[in-house]
Amino acid sequence: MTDSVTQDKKPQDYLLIVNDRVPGRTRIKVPSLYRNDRLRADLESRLTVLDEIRLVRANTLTGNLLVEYIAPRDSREMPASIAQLLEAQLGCSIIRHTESIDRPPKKVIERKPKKARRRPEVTGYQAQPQQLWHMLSGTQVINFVQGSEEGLTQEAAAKKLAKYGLNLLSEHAGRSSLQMFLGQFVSAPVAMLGVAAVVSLATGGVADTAVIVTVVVINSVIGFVTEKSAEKTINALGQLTPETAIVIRGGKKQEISMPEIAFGDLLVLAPGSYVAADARLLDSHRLTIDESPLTGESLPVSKNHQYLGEEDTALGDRQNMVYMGTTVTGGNGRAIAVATGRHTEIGKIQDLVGGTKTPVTPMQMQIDDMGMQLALLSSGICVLVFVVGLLRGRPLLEMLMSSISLAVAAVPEGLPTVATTTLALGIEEMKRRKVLIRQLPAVENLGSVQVICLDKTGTLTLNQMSVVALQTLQTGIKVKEGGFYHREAKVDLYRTDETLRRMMEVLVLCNESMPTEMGACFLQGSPTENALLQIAINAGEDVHFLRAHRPAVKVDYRAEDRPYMVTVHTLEDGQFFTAVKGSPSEVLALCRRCSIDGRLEELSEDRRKAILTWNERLGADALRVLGVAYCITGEITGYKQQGLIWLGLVGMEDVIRPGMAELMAQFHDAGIETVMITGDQSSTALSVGKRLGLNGAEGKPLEIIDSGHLDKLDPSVLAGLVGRTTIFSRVSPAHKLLIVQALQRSGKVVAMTGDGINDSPALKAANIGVTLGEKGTDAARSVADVILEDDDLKTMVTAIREGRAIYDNIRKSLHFLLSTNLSEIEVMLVSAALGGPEILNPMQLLWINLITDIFPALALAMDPPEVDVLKRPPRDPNAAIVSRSDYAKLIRESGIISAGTLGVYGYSLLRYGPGPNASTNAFMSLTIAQFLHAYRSRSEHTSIFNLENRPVNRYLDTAVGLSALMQVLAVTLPPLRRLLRLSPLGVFDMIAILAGAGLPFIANEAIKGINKNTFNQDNENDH
Amino acid sequence: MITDFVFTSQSVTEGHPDRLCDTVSDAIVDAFLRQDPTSRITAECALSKNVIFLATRFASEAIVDIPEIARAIIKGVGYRPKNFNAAECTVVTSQIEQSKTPREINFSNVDDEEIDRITVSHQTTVFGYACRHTPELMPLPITLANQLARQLSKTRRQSGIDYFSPDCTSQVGVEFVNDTPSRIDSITLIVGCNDPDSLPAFAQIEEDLRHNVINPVFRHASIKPDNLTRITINPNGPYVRSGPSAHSGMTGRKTDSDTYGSFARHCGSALSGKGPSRIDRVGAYAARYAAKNIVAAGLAEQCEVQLSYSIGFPGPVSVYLTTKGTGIIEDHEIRRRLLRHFDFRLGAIVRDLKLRELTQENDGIFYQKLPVNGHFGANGSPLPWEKTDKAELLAE
Repeated sequence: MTDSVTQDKKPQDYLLIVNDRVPGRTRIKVPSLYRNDRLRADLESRLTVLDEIRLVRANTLTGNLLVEYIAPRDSREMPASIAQLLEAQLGCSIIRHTESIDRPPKKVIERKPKKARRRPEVTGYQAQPQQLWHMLSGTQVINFVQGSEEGLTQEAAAKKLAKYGLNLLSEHAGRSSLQMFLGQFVSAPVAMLGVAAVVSLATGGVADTAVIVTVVVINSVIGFVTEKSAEKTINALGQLTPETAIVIRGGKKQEISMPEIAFGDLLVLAPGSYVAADARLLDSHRLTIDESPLTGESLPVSKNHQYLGEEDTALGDRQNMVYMGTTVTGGNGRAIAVATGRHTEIGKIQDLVGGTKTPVTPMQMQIDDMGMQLALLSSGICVLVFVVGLLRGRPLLEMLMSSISLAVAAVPEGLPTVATTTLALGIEEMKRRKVLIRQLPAVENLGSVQVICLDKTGTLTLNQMSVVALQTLQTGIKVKEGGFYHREAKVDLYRTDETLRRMMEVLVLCNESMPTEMGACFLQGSPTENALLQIAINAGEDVHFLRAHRPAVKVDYRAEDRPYMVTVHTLEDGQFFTAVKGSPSEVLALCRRCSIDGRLEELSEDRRKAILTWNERLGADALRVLGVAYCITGEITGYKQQGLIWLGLVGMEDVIRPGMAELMAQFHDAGIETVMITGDQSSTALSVGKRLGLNGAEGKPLEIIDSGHLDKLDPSVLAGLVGRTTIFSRVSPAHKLLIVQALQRSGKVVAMTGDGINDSPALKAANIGVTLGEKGTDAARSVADVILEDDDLKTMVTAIREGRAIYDNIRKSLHFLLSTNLSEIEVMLVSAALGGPEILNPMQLLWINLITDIFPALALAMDPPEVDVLKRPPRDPNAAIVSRSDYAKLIRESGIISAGTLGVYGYSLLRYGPGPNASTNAFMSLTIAQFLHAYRSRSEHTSIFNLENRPVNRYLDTAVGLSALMQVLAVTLPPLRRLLRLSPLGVFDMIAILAGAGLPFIANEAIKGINKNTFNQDNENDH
Repeated sequence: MITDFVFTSQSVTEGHPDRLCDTVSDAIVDAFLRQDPTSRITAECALSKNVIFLATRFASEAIVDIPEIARAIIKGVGYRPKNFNAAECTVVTSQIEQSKTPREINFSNVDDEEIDRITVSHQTTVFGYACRHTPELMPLPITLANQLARQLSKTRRQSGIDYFSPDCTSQVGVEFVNDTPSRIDSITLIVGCNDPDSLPAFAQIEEDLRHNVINPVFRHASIKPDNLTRITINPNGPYVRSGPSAHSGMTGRKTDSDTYGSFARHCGSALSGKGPSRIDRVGAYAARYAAKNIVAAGLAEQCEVQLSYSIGFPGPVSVYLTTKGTGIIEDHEIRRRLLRHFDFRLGAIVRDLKLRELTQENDGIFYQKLPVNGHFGANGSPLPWEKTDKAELLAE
């Protein structure tokens, strides 16, 4: 957190050159430009006058000024005239990054104060009064908004709400359903189909026209339905603002729903709370706020109600203001709301940006680009088919029809929809599995996570203490799941060692915790005290009975100079029982004798040494260790003279959640490195790390970075060190951000878990910020990309599996669409080259497009994760979704399918001669081959020859089944048959078709197997 | 043969990063042996600006907070926080846990046959040397250099001269006539300074060093600096930056001042950071033990013992010694007597010198002191391999 001094040093008195690496182009940071439209207009108009200037663009949202100019030959620098004008205009000097920013500020030229711009009325409400609130004192603000120190009264609040409107950000209606439906028709394929329809009408093919219109409508309806639901899912992401806020009304704190916050309401700010409106601070104590939603600044900024700003103080520097949408990270305060709803800064941004746009991920953009290129490519081929056909002497109109149909069938217009739909389906699927996705890119990032950073306390452990070891001079007892073990054998505690009985009595008596119910585990007290009481209950002590019969007469709690607790109790025979527990070395120093199996013996030097060694060993084994002693005396304070009797040591720890070691192994299997971050000391961390198996199955060295001051380390050094590190110990939560950044610097895709307020910067910086559902603070939840709703880290594996599966599925759909479309093009290209009648007529092409493209591709998008999806290393985040080798594969596979179809066509030509029979057989075998190819596309790793490794995809079975049924209807139903110009099939035809479709499928699957084997061998050779 | 010459040896103080790394490594060895004398442990340390790297391999019951030990040692040396802040520095540890082998079992009372089964796991040739230059039978140049270094540290801690940094170096040149030390040729002291802003005048530094460092070291020496002895102090000016912020350190880079100041041969591998099951450490101790007893028995003026070990053998594959012609009997005869009275097998060395129990017997701190106090020749501390208890047996 920056202190106020450095903030003062960050004034508005210099202009920083952000980027001037490109000659003739300079980007300058002009802080006063931020949200200052007048200055923007001013600067733009004045600069454009200059001769050198080619372009000026000022951005009031980023505060950046972009100047393009005619660069002088001899230097890269901005011409002096521009610089002079800027400096004179803004009254500041221009500096570079490297220059010192401590130059004395030039005299600021007076500018007219900004007038509050009245926004055009769009609602029935009045505009809220606007002021430069950060320049006014607290009292002035209160007067201005007609509020009070006690907050608004309920009536006043209601009145204000009626006057100014509810505290709601303008709800942007996304595209309406009708818009979305109409949008389906505005696309290149539909336009081409329109042309085709006109051509058919012109040639008298009314039926053809009807078919084309039907195809268009069916396509559009399907497109609309999927896109609608996908958009709904995706737009619902990230909407996770809390529903209520705490305000003071009529002098009383109360929780009210977010929209009810009125102009002038008194907001109560506490750590983790969401700022419900733009507000001027009236009171603050060490208040820090995460303003990243507004400013993008990842570090929290400190706020101070006493600060008074200048009129041109940038938004981020207005220390006496808090803004809606930000969260409190520390401290507390009160603030009076000065803007609500769409009048807030964040509301204005939303207005400016023009509402919620459906976000697009890098992968979607890649697919869009690829789709565009492929569309151009296939259109080119269609033109080629058209030209070749014409040269071969086919009629123009017929050729036009068939190349347009080919274009419609072959252009992969469905690619972007497939990607969006798959993402949306994946998000829904994850939601069912308790994984809440908040950012769309998180879905694909999940599949490429390489490192996962885990918080020890609370995430890997239960964050509650339990006794795990008891050590008397005679016996060492281990406690596992409530049972007592001595040398791996389960034992009855009191039969093993009489001393242990005394020890349990002391733990019950010398204890601040209270059981709330008899014998139940509901204990009230600190975690340590609870753990000690619980172990005594497990051992069979009756807490109420014991405490009732030995009432405490004196209690000395732990204090600064007394690291142990002493209680004195009366016994029935009038003597006093003193129970002591505390720091082992201190308690030991008070002891003179010890208890060996219940007998009193002298505490020799050797025994003291042994006790201290045990203490050191237990302590080093990540345990919190306490020494326990007692004595029975005649006087209340007799123990000081008489000396205590040593009983033994108790070791406690924060128990690791069950199943965590297996979880770590699962991450390692999936090629994901695990990094544990903890505030504990190194030996504790090592012991936990060993038990979790963080070093992996091969037992590589556990590398630990131990530092309470990671910020003192050069970031590049840290980035060099983090590569092999498995544990960070003694780390303060604020430094988690440094760890994430260092990992990212070393080229890793990082997931990070966290739930505290302090974790939010690191969560935000991580490629995947993960928060556990209920435990996460609002601050953490608001920046997390993924929320595990069931509070269980194991769900993270599900999330990663689904993330990988989604990416895989998109690839599968792409693979299917591209290879089948290619096969259609190839067949038609050959047809055109051969001359004679077409192999496939336009109607058949449209049919193929309708029944083979859509449903199998969508079904592939819902393919269940492959069995080995978590045994593979994460994908390379920089790899293209369709790589060069993939293209080779696509061409090979489509070539084989085309060859099969052409083979059938050739056979039929020989048998029937050119005509509908040959065409029918080719059509049938191409369609069926494409259905079968959908099964080929299900996996790059398994084939139909090893079915046992493939989960069943019922959607695909259904989709292909229905499509096949349609195909059967096409040849059996006379109207359809006429439409598609098919002839009836004979037995030999059927055999030929099945062979022509089945053999390419088997061939492709076989090649996959061969490739896989050779690939494996290559891998083995590498080792 | 040239018998008149000047020989120089150099040493560094406790705060020199290399020496500091040695101390940290040995402190880790101690920490393991303190809890579990049968631990097998190798610890290596490297130190740079604000970062400590620690690579450890161990088979032990003990659980040790390694970064904490490193921080405690460095803090104890007393750098100003500006030069090295032990609390704020980052400690990077790489820990490999191994399982114990028969070599790590407790064998204080094992018989010969069992010792034969304990084979060495490193190949090494180690040397031990002794000569009559000093009462502790060490070469004079290194003895003086080490004494000066220790006196520098002592001065800094005890005499209230606080402008010295913990990181200083010393060098002593001794003139030999007829292979015997005859006078002190030169003394060079380079003193790091703690705070460049409050550095006293050169004359003051020189006065302080003469009075508090050089004079006490030579007070009882048989050979004292004379008028012609060249005493050089900070020839390049005082080091204004010292310690890990100025130069990095690493375990095992000061083996010549750890051993005989290059006056005799020494094995290049580090002594520090290795537990008693490492032959390259304990072999060097055993060889010194042998050489010292031969000279103490009066069999020679000087003696260098060489032991060569191969992996898989319990004892040395070669035992060689030379007295360089100073022996009163044949070197062959000396070696015969040596082999009769000394058992150079790994297990026997560890058993006879009680190397595993030393830490516990010395209140948990034994090996940690060696890098600063000297592995050999230190007269104050009772190092088992410095005993001359076998001299009489050899003399017979």
